[in-house]
Amino acid sequence: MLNRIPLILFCLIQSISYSQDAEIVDYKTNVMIINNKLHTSISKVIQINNRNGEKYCDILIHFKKSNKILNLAASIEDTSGNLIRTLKKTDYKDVSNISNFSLFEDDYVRKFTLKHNYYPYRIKYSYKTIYQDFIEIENWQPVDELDLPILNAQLIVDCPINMELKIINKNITQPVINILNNRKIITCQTTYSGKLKREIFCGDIKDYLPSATIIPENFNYGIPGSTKNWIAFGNYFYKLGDGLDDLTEVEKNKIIELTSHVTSTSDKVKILYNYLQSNFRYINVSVELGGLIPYPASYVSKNKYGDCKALTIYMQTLLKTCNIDSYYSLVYSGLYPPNLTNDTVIDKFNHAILCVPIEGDTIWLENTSGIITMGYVGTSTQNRMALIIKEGASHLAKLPKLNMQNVLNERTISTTLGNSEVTVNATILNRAYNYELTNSFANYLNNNEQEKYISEIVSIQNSSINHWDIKNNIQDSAKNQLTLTLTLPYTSQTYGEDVFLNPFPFSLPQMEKPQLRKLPVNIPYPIHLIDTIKYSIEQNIYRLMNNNFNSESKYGKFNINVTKTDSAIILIKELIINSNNYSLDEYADFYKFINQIDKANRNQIRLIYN
Amino acid sequence: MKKISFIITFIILAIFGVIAQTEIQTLGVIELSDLSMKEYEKDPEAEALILFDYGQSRLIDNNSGSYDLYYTRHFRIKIFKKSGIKFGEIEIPIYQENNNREKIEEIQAFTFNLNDNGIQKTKLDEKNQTYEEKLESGWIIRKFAMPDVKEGSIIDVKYTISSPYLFNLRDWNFQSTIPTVFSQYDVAMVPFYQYSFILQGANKFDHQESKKSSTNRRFAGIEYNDMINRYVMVDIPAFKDEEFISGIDDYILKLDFQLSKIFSPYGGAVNISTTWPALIKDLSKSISFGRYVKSSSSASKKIITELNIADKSEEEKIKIISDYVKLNFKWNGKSGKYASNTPKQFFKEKSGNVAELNLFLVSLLKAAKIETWPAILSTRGNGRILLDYPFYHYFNYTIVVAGSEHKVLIDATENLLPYNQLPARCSDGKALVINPDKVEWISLKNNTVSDKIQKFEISVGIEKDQFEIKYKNESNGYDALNYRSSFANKTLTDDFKFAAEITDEEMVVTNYDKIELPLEIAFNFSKPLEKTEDKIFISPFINFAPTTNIFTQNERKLPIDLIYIHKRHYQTTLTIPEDYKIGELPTNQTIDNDLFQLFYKIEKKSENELIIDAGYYFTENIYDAKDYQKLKQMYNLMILKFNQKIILKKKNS
Repeated sequence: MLNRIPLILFCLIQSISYSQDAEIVDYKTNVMIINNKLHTSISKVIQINNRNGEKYCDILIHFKKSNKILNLAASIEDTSGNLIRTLKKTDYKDVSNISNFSLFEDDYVRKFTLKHNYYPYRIKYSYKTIYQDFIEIENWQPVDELDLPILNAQLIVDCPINMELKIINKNITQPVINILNNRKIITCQTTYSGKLKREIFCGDIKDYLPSATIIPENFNYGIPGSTKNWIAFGNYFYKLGDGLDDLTEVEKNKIIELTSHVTSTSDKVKILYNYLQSNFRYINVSVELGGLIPYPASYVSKNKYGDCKALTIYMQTLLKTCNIDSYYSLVYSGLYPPNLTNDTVIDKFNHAILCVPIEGDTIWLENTSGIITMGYVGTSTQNRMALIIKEGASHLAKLPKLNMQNVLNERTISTTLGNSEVTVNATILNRAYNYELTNSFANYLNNNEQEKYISEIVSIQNSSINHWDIKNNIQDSAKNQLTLTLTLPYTSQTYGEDVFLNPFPFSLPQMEKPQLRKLPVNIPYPIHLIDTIKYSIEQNIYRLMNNNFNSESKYGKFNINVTKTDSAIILIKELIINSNNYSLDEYADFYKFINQIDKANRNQIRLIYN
Repeated sequence: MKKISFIITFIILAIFGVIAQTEIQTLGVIELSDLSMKEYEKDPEAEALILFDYGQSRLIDNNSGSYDLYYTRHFRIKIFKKSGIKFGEIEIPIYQENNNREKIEEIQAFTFNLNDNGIQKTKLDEKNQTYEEKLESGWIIRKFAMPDVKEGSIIDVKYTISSPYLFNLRDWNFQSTIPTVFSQYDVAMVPFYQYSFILQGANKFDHQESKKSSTNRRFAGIEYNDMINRYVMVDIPAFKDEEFISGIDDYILKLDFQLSKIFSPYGGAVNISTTWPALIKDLSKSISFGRYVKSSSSASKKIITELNIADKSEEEKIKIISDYVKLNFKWNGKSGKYASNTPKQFFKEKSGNVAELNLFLVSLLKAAKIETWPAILSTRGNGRILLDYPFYHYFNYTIVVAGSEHKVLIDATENLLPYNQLPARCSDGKALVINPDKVEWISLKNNTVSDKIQKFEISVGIEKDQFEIKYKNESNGYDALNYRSSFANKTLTDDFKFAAEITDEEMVVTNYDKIELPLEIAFNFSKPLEKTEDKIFISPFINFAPTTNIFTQNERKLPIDLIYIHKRHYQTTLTIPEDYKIGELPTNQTIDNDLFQLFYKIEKKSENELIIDAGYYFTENIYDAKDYQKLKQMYNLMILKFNQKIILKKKNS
C-alpha cells in the first residue's frame, strides 16, 4: 500500500514535461529528370504517438490544375508494420486552395484524414507529380511543422550527367554527388529535432531549418531561361514581358494628353501614378503559369485591375508612352528578405515593382496600392536587393532602408489629471508600419471595422473611443494623421500624499528571457517613438518627484522627461531601438537594455501633494 | 436550348406579371442622379450602398415529371469610398452533390462610371472574367471581380440559378454591412409544394402581398395558377458588428424558407415537416439518425457487457460510458445533425462527426438500459431556433440527453470537458429532444460558472530589489478547458507570458487528466520592486487583475453575449518586511446587484501579514444591450480597485 502512494501523487501532479505527440519517421523526396520533365515522388511515414498528435492525421497535398497527383497510396499501420486500413478513392477530396489575397488561383489541395485509436500508429502515404515547366528542380524544405521532429528526411535528385546545376543548402550535411549509370545523383539527408520555435525578432525561421535548393543552369518555364548569372536570369524575365505593352492608340493618346500640360519627367510620373491609383485596383488571378508570367497591359486596360506583375507592366507602358524609361523589378516582399548576392542566382522573388531612374535619383513605384504616397518603400520591401530587368543588363540593386525619421511615430496627448472619468485628445502621426496599417484600413475596412483596429494603433489601455479621423499622406509624404477623442476612467490614482499618473506606456516587444532564447536577433528596421503628453491641473498643488530617465546604448535609447508648469504636467518620452542583427552571445546584453527601458516605460509618474 | 430559355423566360414573365414592378429597374439602365451621388444622406459614413436588391424564385416544370427551382437576383450597388470597392467582387454559391449540380444560367453585369464624356458602361465578360472555387462542403463559388470599379462607380448585376434541389429555395437577406434602399423578394409557389418562412430581425415587412398569377399553367394534367408572394423592406440600415455577439446570422434581418409539404398531383400529400411531432418522427425514422442508433445496438450491447458496469449507479454508468466514447472515438471536427457515414465506417475509422459520435453514445446508453434520447440544436452563430417554426435547417448539431430523473446533457466531442458539460458552442437557446412520444425542449442556458481562483504569496526581497511571488491558479469549467487545451498544445506557458516568463520545467500542473477536478497551475516568479527611499508600492494581484475594460463601446444595440458565466477570485497573502509598516491601504468595497458582483477586502492577519481578498462575478452569460453602460461602469470600477496599490512605509521614516 505504501508503495502505491508516490505513484498516485505522480499521476496527479506533473511538472510540465511534454512528450513527443507525433514524428515523421521517414520522408523521402525523389526527383528524376526524364526528357526535360520533372518526376517528383514523395513518400512519408508519420507516427502518431497520442491523441494530441492527431492534428497531423489531416493530410494535405497541394497541386496545380496542370500538375495532377498521380499514384496516390495511403494507409495506416501499427508500429510492427501490420496494415490497419488503406485509403480509398472516396476517402479524399480535392478542393480549391486560393490565397486570401487572390480572387482566383488554379491551386488545389487534396485532403484526407487517416486515424486510428490505438497508439502509436503510423500513417504512410506516397504520390507522384510530373512537371513540364520548372525553374528549380527542387526547393527542398522538409520541415513543415516546427514541433514535428523528423527522424530521417532524404532528397535524391537523379538527372542527366551533363546537366549543369547549383545546390544551395542550409543546415544540412554537405550533399553527396555520385555518378551512376551515366546519371548524376545528388543525395541530401537531414533530421530535425522539432524543438525550434518562432521568437520575437528572430528573422525568417527558415534560415534555421534544413533546406536544399537545386537549380538547373538552363530551364524552361513558359519559355527557355538561364540561371547562369543575373543578366541571363533577367533576360528570361525581359522576354516574358517583351511585347506586353499593347495599349491601343486611343489609350496612348489619352495618356499623352493627360501629361501634355507638364514638362518635367517627375511631374509626368506623378500624374501617371495618380492615374493608376485612381482608376485601377489590385486583383490577383493566377492560372497556369500566371504565377510568373505577367498579363499584358491590354488585360489591365480592359479589366481596370491586375496583380502586381500586370499593374507594373501597365505602369511601365504608361511611362513608355510618355517616353520615360522604367524597369520592371523583382523583389521579395516580406519583413525578412533572403540574402541575395551577385554570385548566386536563385528565384526568391514574390513581388514586382517598377524602378524609375529620374533626374539622378531612382523612384520605386509600388503599383498595387491605390493610396500610398508615390515612391514609398515600405517595411516589406525596404533594405534589400531587387532584380532590375533590363535587356542584356539586368542586375541587383538595393532598395533604400527605412531610416529613423521614416519610422518615427509621434503621439501628442492632451488630458487632465483626475481620479475619475477624463477626456483625452490625441493626435498621432503614423509612419512606416502604422502608416501602412492605416492605409490598408482605408482600402479595405468600413468605419465600423476600422474602429476595432484604431485602439491598437493608439495603444492607450482601457480607453473608449468617442471620435476619430484619419488624414492620409499628410503633406504628400508617407505619413498619416490620426486624431481622436477618447474617454479614460482615470489618469491618476492617489494614495495618501502620493499621486501616480498614467504614463501612457509605449507598446514594446516582450522579449524572451536570455535562458529561453534560442535564436539570434534581427531587427529589420528601427523603432522610433516620441510622446508629448500634457496633463492639465486645476491647482498647482503638486510637487514633482524625480521621474526622469535616460538610457542610451548601442541598442537604442529611451528618455523620459517630466516637467511642471502652473497649469500642467508635461511628459516627453522618446524611444529608439536600432535596426541591427545581434548574435545569441550578445542577447543577454540586448535583453538587459530592453528590460530596463520596458520597466521605465511602465513606471507610473509620481507626484506628491504639496 | 435557345428555345427552352425563351420559354422559361416567358413563363417567368407571365408568372410575375400580375404584381406591379414599378420599383424594379431595368438591367443596364441607370439613373444619372445615382451615379453622381457623393454619399448616402441617411448614412454618410457608408462605404457603399445597395440601391436595390431584387430576388425572384419560381418553380419551372423540367419536363421530367418534376420541377426545378429558378432563382434570379438583380442588385445594384453604388460605391462611395475606396473601402467600398470590395463590393465589386461578387461570389455566387451553387450546390453540387454527386452528379447533381445547380447551374448558373446566365450572369449579366455592368459597371457604370461618370467621366468627362458622360456615362461609361463596362460589361462583364462572363466567359473570361468569372472563375469557380470548389469548397470542401460541396458548394462551388462562382466568383468575379467587376471591371472598372472605383470610387463613384455603380455596379449592376443580374444572374439566374437553376436548381434541382427543391429544398434549397433561396433565403433572402434584407440586410448587409452596407445600407440598402430597397429590397424585395418574390416567391412564386405552385400548388404542389408548400414552403414555410421565418422573418428574423423584424416583426413585419414594409410591404407584403400575395396574389394569384393570371397565367394558367399545367402540370401532370392539372391546371393551376402560381401564387406570387412578395416581401419588401425599405431603408434598411447597415448591420454594425459589435463585440460579444454570437454571430451576424443570429441578428441580421433576413427571411428563411423551408419546404414543408409536397402535394401529389395524383392525390395525397407528404409532410416534410409542419409540426414538431412530425419533425421528431421523421428524424426518428431517418437512416442517418434514429435508425443509426438502432443499427449500432448490437455492437453497443457487446461493449456494455465488456465494460462490466451492471452494479454501478445510473450516474456512474453515464459517466463511464461517455468517457469510453471520448477515449476511444474522436470527433473529426465536423458538425451536423445527421450521421454522414454508416456505423460500420464509424467503428472502422474510430472517428466521426458530431452526430455519429453522439448517436453512438445514445445507442450505448440505451444498451445499458438508461433512458436516453438524442437532441438537436443550433450552435452559436448558426441562427436562432424559433419554437413556433418547425424548421429543419437551423439545427446543425446533435447531443445526448440521458438519465431517468436527473437529466444530463452530453456531447462526446470534447474530451477535455467533464462528461456532463457541453462545449460553449452549444450554449445557446434550446435543444429539441428526439423522443417520438412527446415534444420536449431542454434549455441550453449555460448556468455553469467558470470559476478561476488565483492565489499569490508575496514577500519583499529588499536585497534583491524584487518581489518574490508564489502563484497558484485553480480553475474549472471553460476556464479549465482553455488551460487544458493550451497544455495539450504545449502552449500553457504562453498563457502567462503577460505576467512572467516561465519555462515548462518551472510550471507544475495538477489534475490535467482528472477532468472533473479543478485544474491547478503553480509556479514561482519575481517582479522588480517599485520603491522610493522610504516607501514600497505593491499591486497586490501583480498584473493578473484586468487592466483593460472589455466594454469599450459608447453605444450598444445588440445583446451582450459573454458565452459563459465568469467568476474571478484573487487572494493575496502579503508578508510585510521587518523594517516596514503599512502606509496606505485601499478601502474595502462591495458591489452586489443583479448584473455584477464585486468584493474587495483587506484583513490584517498578523503584525506582518496582510490578506487581500477580492473577486468579481458576472451573474449572467447574456445581458440586454441596455445593461451595457452599467456593466462598463462597474468593470471600470473593478479595474480601478483591483489595481490599487498598497503602500508600505519604512518604520523610522
